[in-house]
Amino acid sequence: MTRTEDRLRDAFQGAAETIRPGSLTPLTVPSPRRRRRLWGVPIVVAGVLGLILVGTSLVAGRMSPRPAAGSRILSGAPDHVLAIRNGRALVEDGAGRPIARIGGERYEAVAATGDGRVFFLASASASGKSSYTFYRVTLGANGTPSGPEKVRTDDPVRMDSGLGKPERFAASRDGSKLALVGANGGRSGIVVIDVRTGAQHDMEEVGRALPASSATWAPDNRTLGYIAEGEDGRPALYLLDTGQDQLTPRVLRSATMPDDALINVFVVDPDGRTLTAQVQGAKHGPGDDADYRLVRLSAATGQPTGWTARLPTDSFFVKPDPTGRHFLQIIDGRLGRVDDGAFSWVSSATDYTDAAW
Amino acid sequence: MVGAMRPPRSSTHERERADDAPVAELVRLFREHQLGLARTALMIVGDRATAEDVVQDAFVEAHRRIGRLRDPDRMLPYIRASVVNRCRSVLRRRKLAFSLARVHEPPVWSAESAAILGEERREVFLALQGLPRRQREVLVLRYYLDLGESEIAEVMGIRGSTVRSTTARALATLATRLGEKHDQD
Repeated sequence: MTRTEDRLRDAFQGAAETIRPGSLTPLTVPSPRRRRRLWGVPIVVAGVLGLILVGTSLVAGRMSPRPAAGSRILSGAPDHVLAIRNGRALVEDGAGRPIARIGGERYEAVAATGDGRVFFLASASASGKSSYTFYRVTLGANGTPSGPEKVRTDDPVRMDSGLGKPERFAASRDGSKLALVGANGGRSGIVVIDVRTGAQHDMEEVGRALPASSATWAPDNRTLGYIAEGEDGRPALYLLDTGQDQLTPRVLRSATMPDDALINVFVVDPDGRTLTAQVQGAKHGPGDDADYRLVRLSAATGQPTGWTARLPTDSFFVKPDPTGRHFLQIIDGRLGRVDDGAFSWVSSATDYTDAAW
Repeated sequence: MVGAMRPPRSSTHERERADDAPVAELVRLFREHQLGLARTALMIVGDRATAEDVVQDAFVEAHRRIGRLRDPDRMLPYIRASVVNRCRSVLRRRKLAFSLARVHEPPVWSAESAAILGEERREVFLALQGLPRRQREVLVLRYYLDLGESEIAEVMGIRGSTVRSTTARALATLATRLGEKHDQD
């Protein structure tokens, strides 16, 4: 075999491995048409066909129908998305079709854990928007949600700045901790809740007036990432080890990129080695145009590494799936997704407040 | 008087079983070959989403024509050919749509994919992209799917001798573009 043939085989093998076994959509065929047959209509055959195909889907562990053409780009991603729309929590499939509604109203935010099944919902208390109640919901394999189970907390959890975007509510991958970041009492604030005991740890960042944002948990389930005002008054990416008695955040990097682009929001990827950040490029032109992209950064150095995905416009939103290869986007209330570096819209509806998978 | 003998009529159950067999075979082929065919299509069209669509559509079409695919041995070649033909259609459509649509998904040979694939492999894919369509297909079928000459000929609808000459020309061009010495086997 020649060197060229060797290289060809190696390149093909490398590219082939980007499609992992078990990540493809199961086969779904259209309903069989009626056909004129001399000896009758083979209803039983159609039934058997259905059973065989459904059985195949069950074996593959994927029961969702084939998504619409525009969203099939997302195959390999989780089958279910938990979305907040008009204060309601809905389980949807990967194409934005509702599967089930979770009881209750006034939901403002949702955070996923690392297994794609357990989610936490944040609900604004009836007394006012600055205090929150949390619920745990578990999805079955077919997307059926459990009833919302209230998370006990010692005291009402307050966050004056609310849970708007960029993301201010996050659950650790093991589901043991929740975090709210924002502002309390006019200062940047962070609240960490121990889900098991209900204890909460409030941290007020003295001297920093800007609300913290972009809450994200590292896979160690103790390091919380967020964006807050840096020493120089400009926003910076912070990492905080919540497992220590003395909470001392460390600056990972400035939120400003060398080309004057700005990191709006970031998440620590499930492997812990990289971050994925939504970046707004430097403004230019008479209309203050800018480009918007999702960028992968090294968690160690904060420097760009790996792919970049172009986004249609600013999103202030990025939610990874458990693999870190698929990301949800909400742009102007519309749900989109980025799969292996490619953006596509999921739904044309524009009432999405939050979503996670 | 002895009347003419008619072949015994098969029972309903037997007829159903006969109809089920091709479908069961199709399902088995899907389970066993979906991944390989999607990966093959990926090498030709460049992106996973399209590759997956192409394979899905090929199987859906095969299911629609199941009545004409009674010979289980013919199914896989038929589906392979269908996948390759659909890849060609995709590439033709892309040429037409290129100036109208913005493609968000980076192909496997793009700079964005270099981090995943490695620069050296990307170089191979870029060189491969520069080859004529038929040469690319032959190389993918030969060096990814490991198909023999006659199988490639069947999938592509060309003669075995054409497969041989196309492969040789493709390898020679590729070697030149990759800056390597081409050895004739």
